[in-house]
Amino acid sequence: MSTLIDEIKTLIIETLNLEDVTVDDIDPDAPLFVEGLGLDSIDALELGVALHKRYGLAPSEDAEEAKQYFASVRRLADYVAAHRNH
Amino acid sequence: MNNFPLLPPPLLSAPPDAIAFYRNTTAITYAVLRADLVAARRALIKLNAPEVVLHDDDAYTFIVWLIACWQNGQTALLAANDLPATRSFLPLPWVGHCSDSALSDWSNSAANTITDAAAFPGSAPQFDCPGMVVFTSGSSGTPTRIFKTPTQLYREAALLQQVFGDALPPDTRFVGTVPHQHMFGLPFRFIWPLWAGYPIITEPHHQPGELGRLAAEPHVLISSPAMLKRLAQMETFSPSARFLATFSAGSPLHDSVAAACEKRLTTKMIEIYGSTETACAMHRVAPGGAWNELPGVTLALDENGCLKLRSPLLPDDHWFHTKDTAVHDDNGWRLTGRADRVVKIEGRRVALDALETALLALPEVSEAHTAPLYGKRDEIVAAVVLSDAGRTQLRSLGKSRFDRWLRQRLSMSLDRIALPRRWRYVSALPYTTMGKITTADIVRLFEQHALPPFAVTTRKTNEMVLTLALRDGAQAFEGHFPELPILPGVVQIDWALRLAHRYFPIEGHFSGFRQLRFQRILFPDDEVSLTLHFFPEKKEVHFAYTSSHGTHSQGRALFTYSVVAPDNA
Repeated sequence: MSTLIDEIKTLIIETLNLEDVTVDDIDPDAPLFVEGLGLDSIDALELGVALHKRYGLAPSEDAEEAKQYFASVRRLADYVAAHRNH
Repeated sequence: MNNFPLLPPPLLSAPPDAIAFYRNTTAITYAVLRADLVAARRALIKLNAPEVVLHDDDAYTFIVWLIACWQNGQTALLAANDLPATRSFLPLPWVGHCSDSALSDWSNSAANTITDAAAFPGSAPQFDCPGMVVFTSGSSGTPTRIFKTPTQLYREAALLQQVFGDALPPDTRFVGTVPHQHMFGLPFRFIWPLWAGYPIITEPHHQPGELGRLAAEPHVLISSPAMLKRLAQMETFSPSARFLATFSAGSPLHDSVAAACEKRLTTKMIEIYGSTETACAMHRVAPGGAWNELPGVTLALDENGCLKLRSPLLPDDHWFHTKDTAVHDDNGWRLTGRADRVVKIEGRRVALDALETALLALPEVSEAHTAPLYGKRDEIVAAVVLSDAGRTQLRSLGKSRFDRWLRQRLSMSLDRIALPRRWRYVSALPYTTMGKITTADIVRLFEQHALPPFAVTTRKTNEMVLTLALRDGAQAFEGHFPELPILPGVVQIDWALRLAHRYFPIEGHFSGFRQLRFQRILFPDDEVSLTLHFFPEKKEVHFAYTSSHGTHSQGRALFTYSVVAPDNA
């Protein structure tokens, strides 16, 4: 799981072109949005696309569900592990 | 409105020995002023030109020429300088102490003129027609002519006296740090006191320290944010002059600057809202007060959320539309930004001024400028000069966490989309010699090539060794030589500087390289190490790219701490 967590952190950094942020800077349990990493709604859109491309995840139509798996890198890794298609 | 006096009343009514001006500590009485006005009028009549260009560095002769023009019904175009480009732009007779002047003084006409003050204002027609033309650089950068009648200026003077005059005894001296030929300095430093009979100190005070030489008398200070910001930093400054009020206009005064100046000068800080077109429209007590209209001025918001106003100081009764956004509450207006610095970020409107206002409200920030950067995703970038508190915070958090921490602070008051995503902490903003900041110069601070994935192999206080996986950062090779992908030197330098900034507490400007050498070409499949050494005392970072083939490139990056002072800001 820790490899997947690092993989997702790298995906986030690369997809969102986060400047001066390294894998070590991201706390796997910190919120991705608003607090913690402080991502915004455009980032959520970009990340959704990247997750779809990399893992074959369908973009969630359920806002509540999306909120759940975007809660932290660890949550996201759990979600990816359970739903990935490739 | 038609009965409004065509001359400042003291020109007719003040006793001859009353003091109108202080010029290099010499007092100029009303008797002298009246004689000079008559002489200047005669000289101007002889020139026989309905329009003249007026430029004079001496504020006293400038104001005499100007009022003499008005008395004669001649129109004076105010030139900001007498440079060749300005001269060819304005092919009219030039008046005042300037190059190729058609009329540089009135002394010849003074010899054979009516010097009897009782004869003043003389018999020449006084029409209230154009009177004065000032130029503003419009949003396009092309100078726009703004016409002003003497009545508009006198009416403004009367309004200022009505609002602020009660607190100013008749011997209050007006002194200024702003130019006399601009539409803040002219009405506030000269027309208002002339109208109300206050003595005027004609020399501009270009340095805050010069205010220390003023006599221990009551004064009104007409100044600007650029000057007051510096004055606020002079902690031991304690002038003997008393400043009953200090006026500032042009751009918002930072609350901390207003508070410091209020204390330093024991003065009342008053900010003026207006423009060349509108003249003074609102005033507020700084720091933190709400803006209130001048009597007779009506303000409202237009359909774009921008202030519009009707004013007795405008040429007609139509609404004048500004680009300033504002909100209204019980206390008055609060300015929230400029609509013409509104940018679209991912389809959302972001007001850069509002963002900068929010940034400047943080104690960690001294100066800030933001710009949109349109790339894979639209984003806002911010160049920031940190305060001492900010630098301390940056050192303790590191750049990445400090960036996020600033975003977090801003998110209290701003839409998250509007928050800067990229930050540069600089020792000074890239001001042009005109005191402006261009978007291009800000964006240049953010030019970059995506860093490749890397691992830290050695981490010491002033030394880092990183292993770079070039193959995975292949976009840096794109577009160079399609059949022979190599890593361009400019990218190597960019990466070295950025990684150095990430790991070492470097302050100041990057000023150049020494001993820069590119010895071996770097290919995508090279296993390359980057070694960075930081020498805080020398303000240098040494870098070297090495691999099993040997050293690929190396150099020394130099940093300076010099501060570029913004002028005319």
